[in-house]
Amino acid sequence: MKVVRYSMTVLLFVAVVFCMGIIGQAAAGGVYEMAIFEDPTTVNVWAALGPDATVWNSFVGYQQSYIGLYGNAAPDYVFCPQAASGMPSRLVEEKMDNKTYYTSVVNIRKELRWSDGKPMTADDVVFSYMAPLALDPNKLGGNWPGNIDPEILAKVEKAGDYSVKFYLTELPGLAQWQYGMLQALILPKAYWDPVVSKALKAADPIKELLAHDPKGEPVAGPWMMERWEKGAFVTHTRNPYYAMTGDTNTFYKNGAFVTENKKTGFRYILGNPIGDIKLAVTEGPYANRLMFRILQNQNAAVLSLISGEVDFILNSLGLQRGFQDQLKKAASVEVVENNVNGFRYMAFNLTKYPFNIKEFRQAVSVLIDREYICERVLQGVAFPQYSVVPPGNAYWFNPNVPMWGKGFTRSQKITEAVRLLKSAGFSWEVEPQVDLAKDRVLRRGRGLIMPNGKKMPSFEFNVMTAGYDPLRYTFGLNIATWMQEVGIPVEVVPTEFNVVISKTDERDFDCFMLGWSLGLYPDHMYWFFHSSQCPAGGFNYEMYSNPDFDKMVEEFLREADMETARRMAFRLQEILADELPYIVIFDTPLIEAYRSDRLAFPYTKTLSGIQYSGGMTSTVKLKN
Amino acid sequence: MRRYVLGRVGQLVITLFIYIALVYFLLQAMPGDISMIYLQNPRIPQAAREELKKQLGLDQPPIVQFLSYIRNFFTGNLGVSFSQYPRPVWDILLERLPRTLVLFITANALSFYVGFMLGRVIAWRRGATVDHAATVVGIAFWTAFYPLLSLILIWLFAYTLKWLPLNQFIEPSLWVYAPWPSNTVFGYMVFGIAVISIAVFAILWSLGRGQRKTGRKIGLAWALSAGVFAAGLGVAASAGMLVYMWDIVRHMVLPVVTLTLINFAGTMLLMRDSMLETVEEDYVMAARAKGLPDAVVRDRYAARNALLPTVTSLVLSLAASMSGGLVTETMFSWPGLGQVLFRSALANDYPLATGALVFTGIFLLIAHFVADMLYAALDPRISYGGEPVAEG
Repeated sequence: MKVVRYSMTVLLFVAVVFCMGIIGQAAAGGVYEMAIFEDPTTVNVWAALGPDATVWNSFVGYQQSYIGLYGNAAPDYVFCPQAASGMPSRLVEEKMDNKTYYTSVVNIRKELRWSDGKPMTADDVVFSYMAPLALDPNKLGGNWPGNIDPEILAKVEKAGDYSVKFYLTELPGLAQWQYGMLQALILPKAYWDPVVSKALKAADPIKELLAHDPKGEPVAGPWMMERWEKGAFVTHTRNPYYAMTGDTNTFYKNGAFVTENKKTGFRYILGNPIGDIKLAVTEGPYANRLMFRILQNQNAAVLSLISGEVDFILNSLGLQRGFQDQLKKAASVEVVENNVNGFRYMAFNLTKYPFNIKEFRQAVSVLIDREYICERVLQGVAFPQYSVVPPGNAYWFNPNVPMWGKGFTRSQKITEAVRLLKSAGFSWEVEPQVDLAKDRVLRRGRGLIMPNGKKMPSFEFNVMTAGYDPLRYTFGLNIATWMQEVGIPVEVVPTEFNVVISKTDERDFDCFMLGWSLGLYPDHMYWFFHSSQCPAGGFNYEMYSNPDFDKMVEEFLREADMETARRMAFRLQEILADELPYIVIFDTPLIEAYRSDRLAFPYTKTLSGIQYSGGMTSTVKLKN
Repeated sequence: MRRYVLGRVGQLVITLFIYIALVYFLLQAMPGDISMIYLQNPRIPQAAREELKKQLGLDQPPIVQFLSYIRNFFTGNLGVSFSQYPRPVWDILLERLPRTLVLFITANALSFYVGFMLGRVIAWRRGATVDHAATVVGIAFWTAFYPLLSLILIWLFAYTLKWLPLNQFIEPSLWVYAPWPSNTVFGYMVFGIAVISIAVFAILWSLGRGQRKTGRKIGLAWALSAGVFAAGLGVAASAGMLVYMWDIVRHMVLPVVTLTLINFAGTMLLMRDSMLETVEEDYVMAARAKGLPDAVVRDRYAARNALLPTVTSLVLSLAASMSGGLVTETMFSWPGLGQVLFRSALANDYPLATGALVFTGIFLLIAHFVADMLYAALDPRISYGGEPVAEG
């Protein structure tokens, strides 16, 4: 009897285990599956671009389903038309009702269709600009004021069925015009007009609009939202009316760029397209469906990738370095590493003495051995950086900015720092001493005397806690040690991220270390260093003030010509590298992985990686 | 008794108010607020940040915000989430609740059952090999680093053997075409399990009455219970829901097993200690002296009386299930209330974090109350009526 009972138990166990495996094999061909780490919070484009502007909402939402008049063609991020049929007309001055406007006309591609088959017309474009203006972009929050700047954009009018006219109150720079307003998303008027009209009549129009659950909203991008199973997955299906399918972007080695669609006859040329072709990318999409699996941690995502459950891990921060070896060993998994468009830096409170002395900051920058920490301590997890425009942003990066202390030995660094400090009038109770021949520190500096004759008091250096960012923590500790070696009385205070942000926002700090992710156009040099941003709430945390720089960066912001703007950006970088309001230290490469037996990306070397293009969902080809 | 109950209810309300106030001000004491996310993008003007503060009521003094929160709370309004603006907090909590409940109640019930059964056996066989083995194994799991244990089990059963799914609570490729959202299925599962449990309990209770348990009675009880269960499955199958329920069940196996392995030792040791006391009691000796079988003495005399502290522990742990578990939810990609709480706290989403904490707190307070009442129900020696009750 017992034998029968045990046999039955074993049989039952085997049956249950067998059944467990019945369901849940990977999806059939034609599905591009990606792992993401967080649930989106909304699929309402107004909210996703507004207060709910998270990277996850962007990945699964508007990045897949919407287009703007213009965009940036990856991998070189060339400014080019999307819904527009060519470049906007030159801005011209016009007087209307005793007001001066700067106007420009943009023509729209006539073959564009919404996913319900209806044509995209000038009415949609006008609505996409005028509705946010009516609601007030500042109240909509998030990315809206950056896309539709109410300070500059007066109105957009229909100039024809496929033509619109922009009225601006002042001449915009590249950041406001090409890299701002012209890249705003186009929304379907037929769907959103009644919703916006209803919202405008509500007591709280913004709340009313953002609470709207868009069902059956037509889109013009390559993908239409299909299903959102909260906490589990999001799927999209192909937009059958996506008009840009077949658009081929050709990048020439001489910098020229051509978009051509043989089926629709669309053609756009930038530069002189002759000579060797660097890359040609043809727009799909080639998959039938997108599936975003919401996995909550990197371990799960990596195991899913190795076992073939997902094809790509879509994460704006990439993968942790620790997974790289595991993934490299896995069959059919390709690991790619790309530069990112950002940097981590330290900054002093420049309203405090002696941090406002340029040579003091230069000495600190010289003392930091970025290469040593990146290569020896962090084993290549990070790479050194010296400029406020990262080298990855090749067009705007000035390779000739001064790199303080690069290639120096420890003792050379100390010698140079001492020289810089002395040149500014600093002295010591006990001056540091080194043996240059043997590269040894013979005596640590003590009692740094400031140029005003007073002994320098100790100050706080707020760095991230090791738990939040071990890299910045490591850098912080090492930097403090090197500063202490020459007698700079610094005290490292590991601080929670929110506290650092709070302190910098309130300008209540001595010195801190933070980081930035940047946009393509380097207008951040205005926001981070212009004196108008010094008061609390602005972005010039360190309170750098230089009238010459202010003037130059204002001109840069207004500049509408790309080449001139580039020359100005180079000069600005040189000034900043000399004055060092930010001491740029390092950044980390972005590591990504995908199934090479499933996917064929047109390119993988690109600034900020595959994720920057939302997983390249419309250009990736599926192998089976 | 009535006076006692009313007094306890009064205490609960006061405790709840203090708890809400504490939670609210602790969260408010965190540096910064949600508008700080706008500081990550210099293209967002200061005006937009001020508008956001105004929109969320953050421009008001903290005490005004608190009073407004309390007023809303006692009218059943937990406000809107800041990080998922303008989604109501209730909406988010209710979305996460079914899957949190299904996972954690199952895990708690199973670990309680395993712990109770083992505790009963090892106390009865104190000093035997099974006692040492169960204690060592239980303690080993209890003290194991939970994320590591989860990873090992995932690696072994999901990745290497491929017996179980790797992660998540449903299989997306199956659910793309599902006619219901997963929460509907979770809801039916909770409802179905509750109905089946009540039916089975009623069957066992009605057939278990009387002094003697005959083989026929036991057989009938099993058959009826199996019938109820089969009927439940039949209803689910006819509605086309069974395949989706099964998918959820298979995704539950790993997290439930992991939680059970980690937690069963607590109940087991509690039960063991409690039972070691009761086996020394005179009535147990008397039962043995009467010549009753060992299993009967153990289960009906010793174990039943030793049950009290473990039941209290179960009630409290079931209430704590409402808060989910951040590590479990993260390791197994099972987004529940634990993650809501964690992410909302990180994002300075005060209404959501407060709502999640208060929601859990209410259940815990109720659980304490229920545990108190259960004491009286389970142990006749305990009386809340003020009248002395004879012992023994």
